[in-house]
Amino acid sequence: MNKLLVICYGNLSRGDDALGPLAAEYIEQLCEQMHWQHITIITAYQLQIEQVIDIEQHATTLFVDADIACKSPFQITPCQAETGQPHTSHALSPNALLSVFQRSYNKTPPPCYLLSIRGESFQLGQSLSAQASQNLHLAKDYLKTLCERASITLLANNKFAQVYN
Amino acid sequence: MDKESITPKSSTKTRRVVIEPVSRVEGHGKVTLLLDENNHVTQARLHIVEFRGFERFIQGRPYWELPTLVQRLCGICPISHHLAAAKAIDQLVGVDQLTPSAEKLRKLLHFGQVLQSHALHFFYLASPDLLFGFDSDISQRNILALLEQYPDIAMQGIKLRKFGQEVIQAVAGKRIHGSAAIAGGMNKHLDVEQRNYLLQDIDKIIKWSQDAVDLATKIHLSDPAFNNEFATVQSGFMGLVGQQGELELYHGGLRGVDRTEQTVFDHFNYQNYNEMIHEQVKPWTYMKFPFYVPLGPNDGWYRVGPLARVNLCDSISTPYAEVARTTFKAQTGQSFVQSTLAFHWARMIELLHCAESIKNLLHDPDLLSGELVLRGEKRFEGIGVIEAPRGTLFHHYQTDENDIVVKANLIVSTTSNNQAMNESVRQVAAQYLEGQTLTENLLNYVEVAIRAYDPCLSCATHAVGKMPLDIELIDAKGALLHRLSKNHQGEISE
Repeated sequence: MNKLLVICYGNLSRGDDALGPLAAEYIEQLCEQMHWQHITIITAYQLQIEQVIDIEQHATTLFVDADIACKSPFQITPCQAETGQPHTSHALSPNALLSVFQRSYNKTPPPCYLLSIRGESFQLGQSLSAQASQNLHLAKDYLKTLCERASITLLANNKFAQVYN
Repeated sequence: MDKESITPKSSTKTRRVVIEPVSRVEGHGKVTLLLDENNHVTQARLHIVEFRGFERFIQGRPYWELPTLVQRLCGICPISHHLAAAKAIDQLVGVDQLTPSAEKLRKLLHFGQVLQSHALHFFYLASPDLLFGFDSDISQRNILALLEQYPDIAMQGIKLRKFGQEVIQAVAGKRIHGSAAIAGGMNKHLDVEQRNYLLQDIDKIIKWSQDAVDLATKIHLSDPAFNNEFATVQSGFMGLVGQQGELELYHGGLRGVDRTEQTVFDHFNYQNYNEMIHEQVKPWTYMKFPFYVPLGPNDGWYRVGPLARVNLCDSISTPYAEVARTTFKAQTGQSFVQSTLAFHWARMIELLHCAESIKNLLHDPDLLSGELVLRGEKRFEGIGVIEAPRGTLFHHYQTDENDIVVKANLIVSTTSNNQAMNESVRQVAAQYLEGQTLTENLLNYVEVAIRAYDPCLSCATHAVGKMPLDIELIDAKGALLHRLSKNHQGEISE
């Protein structure tokens, strides 16, 4: 069982919504270059309920998504199950997904975090904006450090949060 | 999503009330009810904030990019678009009949897609209404309450969905980038390990699918009078059927019946679809209204999707699903089941058919070896039609000498159900609207009616959750009475 699950979501052809899938491509490259075996990467258009099964099979989950409301180029926040989240669409937020997890397995989800990368425009057929491209570049360095450090020590102790504390 | 933006307004003659947004359908919708002077509902309009960029997105690209490109039109049914486009570009390379291996691999991919889509809709979106009741507390009508009160059913739904995704992944690779189908065939076989992995669970998947059919049957027959009447409209039906009239999701001829259940066309070659189907444009929406050409727009509208397909077919090739179809057809004693809520039942019959078909295919050696790609003489026009989870999906392309797409036309399934959804909403509103006040019950009923069709509005919208939305209230004379805007964070302002 891999210890770190990375779920990157978005649509490559909807402008800055591509940030998630592009981050996934970067992590895939890193895994290949660094011979990392501890990471499972999932790319998806949207979060879906069956991903609770993937989350259950990993020690830690990192969601990566584009976010127009992100106040900095990128930010990471811990996720937690929120029963107050709407469950009314095919599309789920990480917190809503974790509430599905909690009910599905009757236990607290493993540590989960959301890396939001700021995007600006999400039109079909648009390419990545210059600003989003720069934000992704900044986020890549952070992602690399995160995955690298996680692979060496912290994941072994399931103390992923210490990476950025 | 919520229902707080209910704003009844009056004009001199026609009053319009707006219900926005419709929850638990894909994307965002808005409903306008038009009342006459006596406050009777005369018309319902389901507005879809349609994206009018399909053609621009596709035109100017080389044809071989299409199967990958069109997946990005919709995050909900990317495989359906992938396969419809692939069928169209097969013709551009002069191929009308794939090799057995390629066709079976595409079918496996398609069954996986339909299975996971139907599982998501029934267990996650619809079953909370069906099991808890349309009038139950909305905070309880969701997957969380389902997990709490019906944990086995809810987990089966999640695992069915997971299995469907695994089938897709086995055939197409990574879910979001799937490029399995290429012009004239497929790009790889299934490998033995993947086949064996999927076979491990298939009997359990079939059993759960049978349970799902039983559940849908039980729910419908628990109150047949209500369930056969609610939101029900007398419509025509259209869909693909196989050579023997059997249920066919991947390839066949078009069968269409009208609202009086008379055959309009049968085993019709979809290459000539535009001889039989035209689309009407209405001034209040960008969404078109398809109809049978021989009958015209007033009498020629029809429904597509699971209800249409199970109604139209003469048989289903897999045994358990065929038994379920027979029960389904027998329940009303009529040749066509018109009940809108029977969409759910029909959807589960198709789910079972997909599970059985996946098992059959996994035992077929053609998945593991055999020729994958054919080539013929170059052509400049291709039309691909497939039965997507929500109904018949048309992809039509024309290319130039340099293999660049110069014209594209797509008729997505939800568009074909457009008129029927409006009619169902009107029927529900006419029945349940009391006086001049919108009640939560009415809102629930309208949503349940729309949700039965499983409309996919995301083809027509921007990234979910990031789409600003404007609502305008216009009187009978065209004057703007009121406008509300919702930003990407869901904040409402005037």
